[in-house]
Amino acid sequence: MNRLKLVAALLVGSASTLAAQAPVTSLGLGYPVAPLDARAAALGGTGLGLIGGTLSGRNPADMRGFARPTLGITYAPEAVDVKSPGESQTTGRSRLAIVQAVVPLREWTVGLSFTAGLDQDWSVSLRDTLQSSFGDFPFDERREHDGGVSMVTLGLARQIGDFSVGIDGSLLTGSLRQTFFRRFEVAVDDPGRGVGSASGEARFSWSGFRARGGIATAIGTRVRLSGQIGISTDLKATRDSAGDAATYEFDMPLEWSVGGSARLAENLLASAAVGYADWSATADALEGGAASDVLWFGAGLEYVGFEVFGAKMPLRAGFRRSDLPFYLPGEAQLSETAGTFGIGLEVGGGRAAFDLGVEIGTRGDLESSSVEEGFRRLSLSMALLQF
Amino acid sequence: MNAVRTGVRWPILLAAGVSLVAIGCTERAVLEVDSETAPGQSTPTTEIEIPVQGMISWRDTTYTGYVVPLTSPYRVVNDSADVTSRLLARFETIPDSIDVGTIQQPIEAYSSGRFRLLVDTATSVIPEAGLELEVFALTRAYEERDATWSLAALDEPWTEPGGDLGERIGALRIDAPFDSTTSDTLFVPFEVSTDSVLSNWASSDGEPGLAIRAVGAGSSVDVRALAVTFEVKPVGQDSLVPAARSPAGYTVIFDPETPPPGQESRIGGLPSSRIYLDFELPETWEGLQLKGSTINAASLIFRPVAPPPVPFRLEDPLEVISYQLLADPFEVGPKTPIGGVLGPPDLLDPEDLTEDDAELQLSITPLVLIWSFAPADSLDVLRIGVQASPEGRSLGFWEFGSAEDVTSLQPSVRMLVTPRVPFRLP
Repeated sequence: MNRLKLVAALLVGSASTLAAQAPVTSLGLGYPVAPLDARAAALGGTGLGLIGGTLSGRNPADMRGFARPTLGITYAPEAVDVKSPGESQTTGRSRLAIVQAVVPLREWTVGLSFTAGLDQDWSVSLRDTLQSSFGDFPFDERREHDGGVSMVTLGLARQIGDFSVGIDGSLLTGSLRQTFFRRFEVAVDDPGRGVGSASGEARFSWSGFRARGGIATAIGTRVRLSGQIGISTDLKATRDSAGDAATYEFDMPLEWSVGGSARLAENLLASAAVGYADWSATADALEGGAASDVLWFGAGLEYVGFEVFGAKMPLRAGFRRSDLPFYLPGEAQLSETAGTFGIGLEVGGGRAAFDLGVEIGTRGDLESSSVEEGFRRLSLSMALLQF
Repeated sequence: MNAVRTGVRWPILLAAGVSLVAIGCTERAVLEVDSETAPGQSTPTTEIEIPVQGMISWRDTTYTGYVVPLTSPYRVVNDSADVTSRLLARFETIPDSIDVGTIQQPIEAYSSGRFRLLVDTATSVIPEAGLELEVFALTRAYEERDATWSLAALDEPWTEPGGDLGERIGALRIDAPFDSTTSDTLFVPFEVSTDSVLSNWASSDGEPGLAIRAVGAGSSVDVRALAVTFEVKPVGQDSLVPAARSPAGYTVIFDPETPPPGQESRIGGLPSSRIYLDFELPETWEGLQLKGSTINAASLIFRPVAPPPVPFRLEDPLEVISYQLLADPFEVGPKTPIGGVLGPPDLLDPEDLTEDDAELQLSITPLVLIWSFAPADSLDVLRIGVQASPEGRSLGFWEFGSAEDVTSLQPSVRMLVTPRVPFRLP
């Protein structure tokens, strides 16, 4: 009876821009956020076996890298260019990547952390016109997902001979709020006539558990190696908003990663890491998306040759590449590549450290996966050593 | 030193870089162009129309008599081929005494009587041949609530339809064109003894009253106000005291009389008519869930039938409103209490109503929206009244198909529906 007339093309560009402009956070269960501090982010997203310690949450065994109680927080906003044919729109995302506290107790180290797991934040808007016998009403439609999966992790590490051994358990938690809002303007030919808006909302709660075990060791004073493996229960989503009760369960991947760092010279450190997650097991539970396994790797260099008012200011650079687990059905899997760089600054005689990492890269490919984003991520870490 | 100097510049460059990146991190919605390919879940807004047969139940009727000539501002004296009408009135308060200084003196005599009429010259029609405005004493009393062209009171017909006219009290010749540049007030002088007429009215509380008619083919005089002015002579006084009185029992009778409503639904007229109806919407219609959905708009649709004959054919546009009825109109009847208005008025334009596929569309959105989200069994039957606003301003009305008419004329309910979004995870 009614016809929806596409007028939005006039507002956002040429009429040929009909491909979906899907943010990667809208695909599948969202965008997996690596639990990296700014130093690891600047070193190609490695974060495993970093000499000097890391407040990344890659491996519980790496908590032994801190000789003193340490508290760190990393905030990682990013600017994103969501691309479509001949067009690009800029938006942004903000994440608290990781908050971690580490307390060494003789040969033991206890850690507690909060990390972002799956980022599911996105919003899109549409503009169209409803033609009806009530009149022609232009409208704005907004669809929004707000939330994600986070992890609260309690870890324990112990020094056994030359090896650091760590285990941790993570509660997968968080929520997702889905909203829809369509607001009609007054009739085109009769400003005195209007029709009511429409809206809807649903809220889901996430729950699950992940366990990991890791090991790390130093080879001499110049090399440190690290590896971990983790398994998870199903990720469960329970709809707790009014309406039809519903429960969803998603397979979570078996993950492993290995990496390390080596001091190539007195002022030069190299790091590298590789990891894998079998996200393809999740594909069966996805109604409107596809999932595949993920392989990631990264490498970086750190040069400690500059000082500011007597404080060391390391310079870092690196590169990383990672598959992304979720993509559109029938399209190619997305991958993410980024060049990274950053700096650090120790102050207070080593009692506090500030790190900054910048990642500039792209995700996906418009031709092969119908989704593409350019991004510029800034990671800011602050650590209090012996707090 | 070199290293330190270089390092001092770094924080500045760093701060600039951080600021530039952070500026781009503002979250904002991505503007999409295609509802089908855009991410997220949505639901279309769909237009539907449910005929009477699609309802669980539907009843409609026309009630008449909300505004009657007695309570109507319609005070037109006609003498045309289509309609003849007369004003009836009584002067119940003709005094038999008057204050003279501080003394109440009986009235010895009345004189210089004349009727003062305030006329709407914009709507009045004075034929080229002019007209004569006549005032007659009635020989039979009337009941103003029930008086019609044929009845003086309920079940009491006039001896002569149009009122039992007795002695002509006064008359005024009006020539065309009517000169309204000086005044809209007309004075009709008494032709007979003022003392005789007013003494009778003073002693009988104005009974049996008077009638005003226009004589002159095609004439129509729209009277907005009527009064009688005169002078009285108090007992023992030589001077005359001016006085004026307004009438009571002021009404209009006309021929032909308004035909009673039949099968069709009627809005307007005098006595005024309203459509009262109730219906039960289905929970789904053609697979579309209605109950629990957002009703963006809902309207009652009425389809006009052939226009009524002159003089009852609506000549000027009329605003029509709809409102909720607070009780069952088929049990309580015409006095069913009414609730809030359901939407802005719709214009009933007689020119549009004669076009093909013409329809009257009245908003009932608030009531249907409440129905949609109301708990089961709490609001099953929607009861609605439809009327002209204001009512009783003219003899004109319009009729629409009812549930008893052929399908093409039956009313219906048209809606814009946005079903609930079935939010699911991917």
